[in-house]
Amino acid sequence: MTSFPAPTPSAQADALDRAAIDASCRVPVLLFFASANFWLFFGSIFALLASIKLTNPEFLTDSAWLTFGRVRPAHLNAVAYGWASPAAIGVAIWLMARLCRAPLRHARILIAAALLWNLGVAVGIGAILAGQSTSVEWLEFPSYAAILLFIGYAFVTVWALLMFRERRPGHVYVSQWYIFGALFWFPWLYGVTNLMLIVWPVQGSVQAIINWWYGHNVLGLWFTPIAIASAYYMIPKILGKPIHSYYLSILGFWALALFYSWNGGHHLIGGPIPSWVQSASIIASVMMLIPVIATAINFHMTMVGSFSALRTSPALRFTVFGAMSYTIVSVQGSSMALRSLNKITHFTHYTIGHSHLGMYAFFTMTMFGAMYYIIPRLVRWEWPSAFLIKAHFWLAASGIAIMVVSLTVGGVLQGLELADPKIPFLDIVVRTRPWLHARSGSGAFLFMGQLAFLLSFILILLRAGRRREGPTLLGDAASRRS
Amino acid sequence: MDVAKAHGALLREHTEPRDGAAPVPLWLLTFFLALAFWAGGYLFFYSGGFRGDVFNENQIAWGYTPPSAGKAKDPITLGKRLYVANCASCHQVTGLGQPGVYPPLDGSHFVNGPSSRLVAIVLNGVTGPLKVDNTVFNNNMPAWKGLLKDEQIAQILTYVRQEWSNQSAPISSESVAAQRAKWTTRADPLTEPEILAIPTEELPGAASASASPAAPAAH
Repeated sequence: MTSFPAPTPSAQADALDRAAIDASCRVPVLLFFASANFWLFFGSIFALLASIKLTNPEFLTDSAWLTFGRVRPAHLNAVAYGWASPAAIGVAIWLMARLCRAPLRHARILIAAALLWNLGVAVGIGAILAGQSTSVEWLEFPSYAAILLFIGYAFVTVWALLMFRERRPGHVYVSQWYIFGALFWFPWLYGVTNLMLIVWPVQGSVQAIINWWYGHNVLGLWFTPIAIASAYYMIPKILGKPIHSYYLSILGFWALALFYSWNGGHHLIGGPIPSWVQSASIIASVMMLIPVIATAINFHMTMVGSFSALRTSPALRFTVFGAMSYTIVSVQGSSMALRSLNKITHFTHYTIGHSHLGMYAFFTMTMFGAMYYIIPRLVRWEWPSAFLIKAHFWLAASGIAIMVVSLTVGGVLQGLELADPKIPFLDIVVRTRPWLHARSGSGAFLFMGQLAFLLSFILILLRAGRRREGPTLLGDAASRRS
Repeated sequence: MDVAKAHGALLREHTEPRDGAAPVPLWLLTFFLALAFWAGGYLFFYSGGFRGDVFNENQIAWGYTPPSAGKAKDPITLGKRLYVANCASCHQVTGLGQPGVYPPLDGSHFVNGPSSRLVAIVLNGVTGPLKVDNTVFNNNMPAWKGLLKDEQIAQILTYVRQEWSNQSAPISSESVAAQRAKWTTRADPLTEPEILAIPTEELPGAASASASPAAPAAH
């Protein structure tokens, strides 16, 4: 394989540089990771409550605070803003520092950002449970919570600019493109939509267009780029190979930036918005095949010949699981935007399966992979238990597989029945129950896996167990890379 | 900090990631070009001409379209809107009026009777006693000729003559215009004897109103 020439400083000097960078990242990154895990725990409990309520509507209805209409948005916001965003910020901070090859400075900005952000999430979740949701999907936080998130996030973006100015001169790696893109796209999205929907609401069907412009872009222009940035770092880093093709990286990045922003309209196919808005978003959704295939080939060709490393390295195993899920969820998403398929799957559980395939199998698994790599370097302690990591992986992988399969199959059946006017609506609702039970069960798998991770996380922070000399690997140590 | 104290994980790490320089495969570029062609075709067939008022993706709406095209007028829909805005405060949405105060339109022999008299009433208004369905009402109805256009009066009356239990022929805006010409000099509202003196002719064009009420508006 041809590649650009690598800088070859002495290995020891290199290791010392990295040690200094990791030490400088320790407090802010661990702060974001810890808060992410805190909210993941509560977000998952809200998820389980909401899922059980779908099959047992009488469950926990005595208190208005725990009704479905509040628990369900509490789940979404806790995992999107409590778990996913801080996890993404933590990973982005560490990657920025590592790839700028300079110790992190201005840590106070980041600590202030973490505090503001988490205060905003806590206020927002409390407001939703108290019945003060804005009832705009993905933007349920009232404006007094949203402004805290916005300011907290602005701090992170400002920090990233300062960090970038202090980088060691040299090549800007693909992960940094994605991180910078995401750090500017998200405040733009979040600010504009909050102003246009919550503060000074626009009228009519434009609301729906803006709502889904945000709802889809928060996935595609915030969570997705950070997870891709992480995979672009972790896969070549752990394998010790260059990434397959710089040109595919460029193609993937710019095609994502060009097409993703148009995708939101596919949530409104068949709705009262002009045909051209729907058709443009359908085309953009299909054109997402370009960045997805380019990125998938780049990852795959880098992995070729090294798949055995998946047996041992926890970080690589989670990251590659996430990267493969990215390909699957994106191709599925492109197909779902086509009118002929959308007619069946729209307004069914199929969509929920798709969103969990994206947010869990792709994004969350990639974040777990990054955390398995980053945290031992920050704490200077190896993961205490390979068993906990294995349990986490298999519970998460099987849980999300069961969830996606049951919601997908159940959703297609539901969609076909809904298209048949002869079948009474209530019969269709009742017939989704087995699939919803499977969803609750798979959610319990995910929750148990996360508990294993939480336990690992607490143990490594406490530096529990014996000091390990080598990495905590999952199988026979064919490779000593973690 | 010396090397021995650095964490083992750092010492065994590879250098930071680098880029390979493999070219983009030709088959991939071909596939992407094919996607772009598909996108162009899709946009041609399903973009509704990029118009804000086209909601059916199967409508090919490219090229020049006259401003009024696609806005076929349904006198029933428009008439109902005008009726609710102008008439319903007295005659009610139910068309039953108010007993003893405002006469009903539903089943009224003025509404369903000769269209010449009906149009004259709306144009000029009414004052004094008026017997409708064996009940005498004594009230005032304003003249509408200064407020509503021929087309609007035709739409209201077509609606009124076909709503509720009424099943009379529509009234065209041409016949309203013709009737308006006869009453241009009249300033006062009509009285019952004057109304009954109007010839009981069906106005010309009454049967060939501009649109059939049964045909929904085509969008």
